[in-house]
Amino acid sequence: MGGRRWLTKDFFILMMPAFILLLIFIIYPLFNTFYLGFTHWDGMTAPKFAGIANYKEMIHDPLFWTSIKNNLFIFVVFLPLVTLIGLGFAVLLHNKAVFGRNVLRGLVMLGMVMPMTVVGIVWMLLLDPHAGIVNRILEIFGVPPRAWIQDPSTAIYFVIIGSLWAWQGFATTVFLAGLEGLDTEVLEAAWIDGANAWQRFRYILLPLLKPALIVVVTMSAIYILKVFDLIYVLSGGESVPMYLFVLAYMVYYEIFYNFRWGYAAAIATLLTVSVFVFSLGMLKKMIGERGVESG
Amino acid sequence: MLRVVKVSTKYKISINLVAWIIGVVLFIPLLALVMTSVRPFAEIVNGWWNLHNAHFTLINYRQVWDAGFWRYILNSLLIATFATILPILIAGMAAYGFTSFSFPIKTLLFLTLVAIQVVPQQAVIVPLLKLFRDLHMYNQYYGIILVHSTFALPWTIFFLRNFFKAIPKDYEEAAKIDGLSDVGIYFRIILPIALPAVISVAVVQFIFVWQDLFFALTLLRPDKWPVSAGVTTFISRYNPNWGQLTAAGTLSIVVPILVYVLLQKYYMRGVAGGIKG
Repeated sequence: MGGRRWLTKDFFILMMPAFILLLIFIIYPLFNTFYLGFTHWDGMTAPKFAGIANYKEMIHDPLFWTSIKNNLFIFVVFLPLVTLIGLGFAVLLHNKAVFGRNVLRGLVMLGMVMPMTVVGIVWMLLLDPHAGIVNRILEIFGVPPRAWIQDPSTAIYFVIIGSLWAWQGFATTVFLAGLEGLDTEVLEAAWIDGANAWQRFRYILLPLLKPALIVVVTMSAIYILKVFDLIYVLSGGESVPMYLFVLAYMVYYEIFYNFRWGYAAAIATLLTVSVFVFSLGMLKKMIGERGVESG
Repeated sequence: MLRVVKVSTKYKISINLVAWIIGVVLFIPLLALVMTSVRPFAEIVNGWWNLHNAHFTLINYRQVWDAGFWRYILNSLLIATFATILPILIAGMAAYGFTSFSFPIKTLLFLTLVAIQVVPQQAVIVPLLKLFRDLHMYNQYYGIILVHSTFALPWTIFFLRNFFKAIPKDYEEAAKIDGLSDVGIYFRIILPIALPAVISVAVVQFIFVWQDLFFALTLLRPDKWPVSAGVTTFISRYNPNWGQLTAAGTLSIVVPILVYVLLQKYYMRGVAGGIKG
């Protein structure tokens, strides 16, 4: 599409609403958050510039370190697991020998279409020491029942399991779409050439699935960095126990419990920066792929 | 291409067994939710899977409904519906602007769009709260609808632009000869042709807004909460009333599950094509 004349009334009618909204509700607040991170502010009086005081305070804030530790632990366990599970399910559901594949694809996505708070309720029920089925199944294998969520040393696994159940559907769907877009001739040629299952997977399927892999890893990383709902669910109307804090919850907590809006903005800035860092690979690819040159 | 590889029966049985065991495991959470919601309290403590002497009741639903849960459902319907229609209209217009005009700062605008689609909700919440208070948008339906709509714009513009690009230019040319303006072409020609893409975007966005908790908690008071937040009012950390909790949970997922089941094809396409998370 060539250079249509653009300084027309119609052009502005088409473009303006979107960019005005983006400016008011995303772009301006985003930069404002960054600025407010350098102020002391209770949300009521005028913000006072404080330099890097908020960032200095983080270093001495045990709540902050607990949050970082939890975020990291959840991230490190969740990311490889969700990628492997998604890839495994996708390969399985792509196999034409599997009967009822459409029903299975539907089941995979169940957790993805429910509010995460309901996912949280479901897993609270499943992991309950009395009414939960997980303890009953573990009993069969000789593991004594325990209060997984109430126990500070295991509560974090609730967050990981709930997130996995909800999010594997996304990973599976993206990998499946990737598999369906593949040229099956390459795979079949390899089959005929006598490559074994592992070789076909490692040297042919995986490289071809790289675009899907980038999307899954990036989106899953963003998803789990922002984990909030499953933590909130555990609060039961009060504040969450300290050992369960994560960065996203801390932003909420500093705003509504401590009224330290400047500190909340500083933590939000940190969270945003880490999300951007993990998105860079995918964003660069998107710019290259759907770049403006193509119109 | 013809595939001349024999698939053995043993392989077929084992792969189906694995697939369906996984399917059942993935289904158990939903089964547990619904089964618990229709059992009296005395039976739940013995396990929802225990069908010995089972009784089924709707008392939990009755109690949850009487406690005002219908309000949360209405709130969700209202917010999710408008926060789906509005961004589609606006994003579609911008996407059409991007496909049919070239202009000097196009690259810059495009890069901005690419970058801001990953902005987390937490990144804007502090200034937004101030803005909402100053403009009296706090605890207003239209406030949260505008914010959700704006957050949908970046990925929606991408998704629709990719679709619009594939529409043959002949349609536009013909419409232009008939004297339609660009805005007219967008509403009368482009939007109807792009209906499948529009439905994909709509389903993904509707389900996403239905799920949102963070904006609901921060921008609304409990009386305007959607189900995602409303359901948490039934949680009690030490003495869970599982019957009520699961009844509320089940009521919260009826609409999105229905939308998903009816429009599964569009939802999958939206999830795989956009990068909505």
